[in-house]
Amino acid sequence: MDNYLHVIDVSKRFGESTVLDNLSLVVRRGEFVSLLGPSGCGKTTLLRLIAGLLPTDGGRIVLDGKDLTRLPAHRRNVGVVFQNYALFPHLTVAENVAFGLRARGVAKQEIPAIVERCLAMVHLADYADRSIFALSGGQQQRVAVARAIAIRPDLLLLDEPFSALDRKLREAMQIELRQLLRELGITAIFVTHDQEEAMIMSDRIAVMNAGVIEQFADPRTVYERPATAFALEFVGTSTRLPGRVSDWDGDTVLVDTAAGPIRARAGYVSGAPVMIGIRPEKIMLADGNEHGMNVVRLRVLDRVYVGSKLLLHFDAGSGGQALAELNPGDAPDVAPGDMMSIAWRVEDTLIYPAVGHG
Amino acid sequence: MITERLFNVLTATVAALVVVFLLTPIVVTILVSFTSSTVFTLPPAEWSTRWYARMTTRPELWPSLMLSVEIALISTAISLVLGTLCAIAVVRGRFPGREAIQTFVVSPLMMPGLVIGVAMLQLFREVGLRDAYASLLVAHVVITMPYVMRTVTASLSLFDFSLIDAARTLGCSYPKALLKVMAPVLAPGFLTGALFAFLASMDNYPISIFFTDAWTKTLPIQMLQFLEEQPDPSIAAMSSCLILLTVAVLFVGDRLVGLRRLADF
Amino acid sequence: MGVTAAAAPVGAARTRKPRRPVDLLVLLALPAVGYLGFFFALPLVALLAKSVWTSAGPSIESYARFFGDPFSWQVVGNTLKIATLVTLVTLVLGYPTAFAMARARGIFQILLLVAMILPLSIGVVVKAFSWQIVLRRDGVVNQLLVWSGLTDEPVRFLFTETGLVLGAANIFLPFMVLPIYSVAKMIDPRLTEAAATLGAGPMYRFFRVILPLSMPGVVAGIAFVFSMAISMYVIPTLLIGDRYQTLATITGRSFLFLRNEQLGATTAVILLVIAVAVVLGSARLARGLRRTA
Repeated sequence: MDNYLHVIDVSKRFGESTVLDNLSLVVRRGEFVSLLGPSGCGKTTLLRLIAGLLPTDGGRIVLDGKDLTRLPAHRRNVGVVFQNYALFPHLTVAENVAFGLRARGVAKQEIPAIVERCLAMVHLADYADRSIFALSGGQQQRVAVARAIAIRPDLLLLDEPFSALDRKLREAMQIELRQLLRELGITAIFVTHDQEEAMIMSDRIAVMNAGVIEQFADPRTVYERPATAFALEFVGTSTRLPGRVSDWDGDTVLVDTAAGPIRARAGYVSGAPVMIGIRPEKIMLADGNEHGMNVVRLRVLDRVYVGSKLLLHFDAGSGGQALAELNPGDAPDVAPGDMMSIAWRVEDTLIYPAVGHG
Repeated sequence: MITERLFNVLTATVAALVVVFLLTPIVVTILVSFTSSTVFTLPPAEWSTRWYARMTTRPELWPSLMLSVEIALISTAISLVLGTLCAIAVVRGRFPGREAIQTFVVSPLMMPGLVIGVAMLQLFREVGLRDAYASLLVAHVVITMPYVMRTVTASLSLFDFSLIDAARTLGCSYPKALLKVMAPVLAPGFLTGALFAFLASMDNYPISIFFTDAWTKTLPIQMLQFLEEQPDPSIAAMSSCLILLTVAVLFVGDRLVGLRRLADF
Repeated sequence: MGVTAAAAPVGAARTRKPRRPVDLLVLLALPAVGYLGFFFALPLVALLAKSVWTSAGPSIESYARFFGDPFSWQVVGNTLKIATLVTLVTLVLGYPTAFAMARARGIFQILLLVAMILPLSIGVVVKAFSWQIVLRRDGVVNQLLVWSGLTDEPVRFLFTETGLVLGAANIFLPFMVLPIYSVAKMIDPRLTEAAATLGAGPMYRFFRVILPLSMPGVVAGIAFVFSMAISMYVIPTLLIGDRYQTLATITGRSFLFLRNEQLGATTAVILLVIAVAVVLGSARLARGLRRTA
């Protein structure tokens, strides 16, 4: 797979505030990439810069070897599915899909066939002459997708396209859209603040925070090896314990936390404030044979049964909590108030420099 | 729940009476216009269309009708341009005092027409504007502007500007996107505003009265003069024609934008 | 604090709202504002200034003369009385109608909408003329009254205050109904249900839920109707005649027939002051309602 889209040192300022600062991103041909981050992190701004809906304040955007930076939106051939779908209320479903073809001057006799094919792809062939007001939210979203792919875009951008749908419909649409785009071989960038959605949909995830890409990797790496404390916190659940390095030996440091001493693989000097992170499914119940593992003894706060798994919440001292995800059969008669020993591998201990007010 | 039912029955009854109350004068006027006698009795002893024939032979009627339509069309057109520009500034702009501008431009609607007329009369004398036609036109732009401003501001503030972004990503340049998407979506708002502005201008009496002369009389003024000089059922015939015209305009308006939007106040 | 700078501080969320130093869009408002400034605001200010500024300097002589005449007080009284009565009648008839309209569906809603919008679109001269026919001694109302046996002989309506109030209320009624309707249709019916489940009786629900929520529409309707009713000219001319004077009819006649512009300007300013007071008062009330809502 070759590199297809290059976003190079792009900046964007609104008045005094800088939203994107020298941001770079490379997307491969046919890849499905998510921009994941909280609202206000600049992900939608980046999308609008790539679409040409906003001018850049420096940097370049190159698509398939062609420099788009100075090209206006209507000459870029970049399709966009908007957050609220932005369907034209004065046009029917078919006219909405045909809009981009007409604007591009596609021959009149070819348009109906293309429209029909695109509507069939999103399973709306029978809705061509309906008003868009007669459609449900999910159907409107399909029309928006059909309209965007009808122009055979070189790149498809999607701005939180599922945020207005209810959970069940959203999950079905996610799978459907992913399969459709893969079939068509369309390269797509997808903006979301929903980490689960990003996991399901994408080949790679760019975790964004405050105008910066903190990590750009495949979903598994992002989950298991978050590059920063922000990525750890934003993606998935985790136990996070602040502490201070008390000792180091080769590639291992010893960290003092409110839950007890914890070892991790890293190189920090003594006295450095750090943040320890553990994914809940890495934690197991200790049975005395945990040689070379981290073991702490904590009080159980709560026990939550969610069918396929059992969640245990522990008091980790200083108001912090630890979370373990176990098989329901592993801890049959644990009750809140019990003291328990839990363990996890040193390799699974994530460690980051303490952030901000740490 | 008994009281709830009572409340519903009561409001429905009042509403039914109000419908009768509101439509009575209209129905009465139309019935009277078809009488054959010279008095306004109901129901007419004999039906006839003689008053419609009589109406067409009143020489003063046609020039004043033409004048009213002309003034209404031109002033509505001017208001559409000025009002739309102002509405764009108020809805899309980021400057202090936008709400004040909005209130100011709509305010002629809330001021007594006679007072505006008197004040304008004095100003026109001061600046030496004596031409009746020009004075009427200038005054009617003030009358029509609030209607345009109110409806265009309302529909503009509801307009989803991401539609323009969508059109641009689909291959429309910015000006073309305005034309292809914004104009048709906002058309109902323009139409409603223009419709009410036109009717308000056609109907205006208290301001126009100060700017008419022997040769330049708008329709309402001419009709009131007929009523004072020689009241006969031909006035009812004229009124019926105006009612018919209004019904036709409203019908078109309903086709284009829907009655419910016309009722948005 | 600040040991590492691996990640940008989370707290530094940057604003996304575009902020331009000088917004050139303000220029688009200038033509309309300039036009109304010169042809609408300036004349009104000049009218006001001239009424308190004679060749001999500032003076309130014309007002002193006007209010020194007991007849003037009667005129002001007539004006306020008629306007208040018209407003009351339209409110009593209009409030339930607006709610019926918000609840009505299908053909009934269309009928009600037509009944509101059609009279609204027909000229005031036509409507006042219609009421002349309706209220005549041999008109529909009298025919109905005699036929039903409520009265033995025709009652005089035309050229009475009752006839004027009836006609004016008819003509201004849509201006009361429509603002209340636009608020009433937004009131969520579940609110009254919620109030009922909380133990509120029908009276309590009406006065504590429905009435407060519809107040913005009521205030707007009252302001509309009252300010139109104090300044109506055609309707009294046709329905009550020359002998009954209000501020508006005096203003019109003193310019058009009597050539007593001093008097006309004085009454015009008094009308203006009342109208501005109504507008500002209702705006203040509406703001207060918005804040507590």
